[in-house]
Amino acid sequence: MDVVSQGAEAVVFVTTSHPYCSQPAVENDKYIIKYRPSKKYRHPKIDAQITKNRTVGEVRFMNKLEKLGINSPSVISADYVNGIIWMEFIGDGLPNGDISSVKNYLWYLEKNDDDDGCVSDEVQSMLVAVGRLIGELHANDMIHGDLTSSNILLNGKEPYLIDFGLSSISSLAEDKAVDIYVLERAIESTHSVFADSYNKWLLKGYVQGNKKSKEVLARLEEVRLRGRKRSMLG
Amino acid sequence: MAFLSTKFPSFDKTIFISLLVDVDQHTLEEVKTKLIEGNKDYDFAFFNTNYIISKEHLLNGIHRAMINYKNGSAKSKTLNTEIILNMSPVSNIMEALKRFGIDSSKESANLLCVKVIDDDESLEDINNTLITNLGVSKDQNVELTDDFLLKSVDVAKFKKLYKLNDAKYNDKKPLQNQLTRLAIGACLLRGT
Amino acid sequence: MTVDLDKFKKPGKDYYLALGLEGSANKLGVGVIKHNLGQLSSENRAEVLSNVRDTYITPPGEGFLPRDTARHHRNWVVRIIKKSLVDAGIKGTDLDCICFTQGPGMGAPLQSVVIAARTLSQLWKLPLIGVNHCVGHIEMGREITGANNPVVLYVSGGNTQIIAYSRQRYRIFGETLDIAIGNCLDRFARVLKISNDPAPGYNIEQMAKKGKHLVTLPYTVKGMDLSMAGILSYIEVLAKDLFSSNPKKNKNLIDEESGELITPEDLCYSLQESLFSMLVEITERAMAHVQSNQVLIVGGVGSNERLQEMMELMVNERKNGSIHATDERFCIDNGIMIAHAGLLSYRMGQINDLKDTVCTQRFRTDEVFVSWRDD
Repeated sequence: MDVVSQGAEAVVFVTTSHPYCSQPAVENDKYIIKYRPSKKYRHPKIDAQITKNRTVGEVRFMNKLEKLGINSPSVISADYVNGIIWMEFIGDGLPNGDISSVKNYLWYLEKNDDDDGCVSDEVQSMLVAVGRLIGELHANDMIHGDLTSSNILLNGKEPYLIDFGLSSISSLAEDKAVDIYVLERAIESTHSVFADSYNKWLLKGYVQGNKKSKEVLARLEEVRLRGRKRSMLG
Repeated sequence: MAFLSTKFPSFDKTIFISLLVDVDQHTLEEVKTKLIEGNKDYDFAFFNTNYIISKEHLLNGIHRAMINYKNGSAKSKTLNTEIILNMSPVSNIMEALKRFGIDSSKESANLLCVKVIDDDESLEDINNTLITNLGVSKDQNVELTDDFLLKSVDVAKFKKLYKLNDAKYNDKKPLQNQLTRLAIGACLLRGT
Repeated sequence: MTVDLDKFKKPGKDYYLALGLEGSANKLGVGVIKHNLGQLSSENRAEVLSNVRDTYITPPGEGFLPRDTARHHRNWVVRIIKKSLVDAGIKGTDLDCICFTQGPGMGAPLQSVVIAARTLSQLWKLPLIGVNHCVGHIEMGREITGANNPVVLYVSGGNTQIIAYSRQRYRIFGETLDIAIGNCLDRFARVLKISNDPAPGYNIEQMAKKGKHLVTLPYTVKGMDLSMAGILSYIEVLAKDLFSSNPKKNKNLIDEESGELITPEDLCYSLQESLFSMLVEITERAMAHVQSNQVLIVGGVGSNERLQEMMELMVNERKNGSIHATDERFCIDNGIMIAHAGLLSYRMGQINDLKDTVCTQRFRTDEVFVSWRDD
């Protein structure tokens, strides 16, 4: 079992051992375990409640995505008391062995390809597909909450959303606009050279995925001007 | 002999699964009675196969029941009932037993027998005793496969039970796989 | 590369003296700080020559209103300034500049203090430096604790922010979406008629130490932001029902495990545990985000020992983590932090013309260009 990532809230492992089935109906023979360790600073009662609520919330969000046919890992099992989710492993890996996240893929191109390669038709159609995926998500009033190029994985050419630790349900254009804005900013800071093209393609796809994108895009303009936070007293 | 056994990586127990097909109504009624009496020979989780889409679906239910027992968060008195409850998308135990338990409403029905056992118990002995106690023929004891489950499941009723009629299905992927994933999701979210 | 802090030094003088005036809420604070020439460092510390404060304390069950607070500040400001100069052992004309809180805070109290600042400036012919209150807290915290580039949790009566430095700004990574933590505690104290002397938060902390049973309260963290209004209204209803004199409304709440009655102390304890868990959680998330392992807690609520203890437990789980907090002299609003941050600006050439000394209730931490840092 190897650690894939360690955030403030959860540790993510990859394993080859399925928790209960030798021939599961998922494509990969590797599995992801997301574990929310208990926090010593919290009162045990608060800690148990938070661990359970967050784990349940994430499973519920993922199950909803599964039902809607929006690309994301399938849930394999969950242990709410101990804050564990087993899920499908997504991605086929890059030639250099890295996890095939959009971030790693674009970085790989930056390192190994010329400028044209970084903005090729293939890259364009991939980012349009990513935008479409986020559009579909928002069309169903689902907010990811932490969109970055490392939270989108590529399985072949198909993008998949992962990490729903900050997800929520909302029909507000504001929340959707902020969701996109967070991604735009992440693209700017991680892929600064081609960020303008990348963000343009993402939005192109977004409009395809979300039929009611007009209000969101108008709101996005506002959010870009004022930043992520609404202005408030003190 | 036709039974399955498996182990889960995080538990020392062995899972025993045996399928008996076309068990007659009288026998099914009798099993029910023995169960209610608490007869030790009938210490199994008994299922009909109308609502089980795949082995993975079944194994998830068993696994979850064992996790709940370990965590002290089980909702039923015995592990067998907890297994049946964990196959269900609704929290009501009676409802789960009615849907998933022994189906004696027809002349004959399939009976799936599940038991969680210690390592030192002989699986063959358990299976033999089961067949003898129930008085079924050895030919009725067939191996449980996903193909068998797909044929015996009532897809329309299954979708209704798990509230999957509004789900979006992908024509390129096997329906059984998709239903397995969705049903497991529904089971995991039961009562949350 | 480091910035040159001495481009504007006075010939023949190898130090700077600044007076700071703070009155953005119910504390009136005046302090004098001394910087020697050169970069501030562990060998060249800022020297606190005086740090005087007077707090406007209201009766239990009452908050401080802007008008009354402003009156308090006006009544006391001359006395406090005089005491501050005496404590420092200097004359007004020895100073290099007058620093004042320009915001954020309550309008009327801010205005009554800036009038004092303007008067001193004209009286002694000294430049005026407007200071952002939050930046004052951050700079003073850094100076006192030696925390070089920490994630800052700023928790006070009017503010709840999680801040980290990046490219010459103190950027807000997370903050309250509604009321501030101190406000939440103060308003809860009013319901239970807890004394405002020396501070409602301090008294809640003492009561919480005697609390035994945890009452489950809402918990609202959204990424690096948090919301506290829901918790407050929930516990307010609980408190009113529990301690109502009307026997019909007086519902007893019983702890599930022990079967014992819930006490006011239990509510204080539960409120602190819930609110502080949220604060520590967003701090941890911000630390992971900016890959920092230092935390600095500033602001009045930062002097709470339970908050410090919880933060320490979190930080200890992180590699090379360290926690920095100041005591009540610097945590609670004070004049010295305004003097210190103002003096840093002054040394970089900032001077506010009289027309630019208008105070503002809204003044975001990230609006300030941090000219004195370039790391």
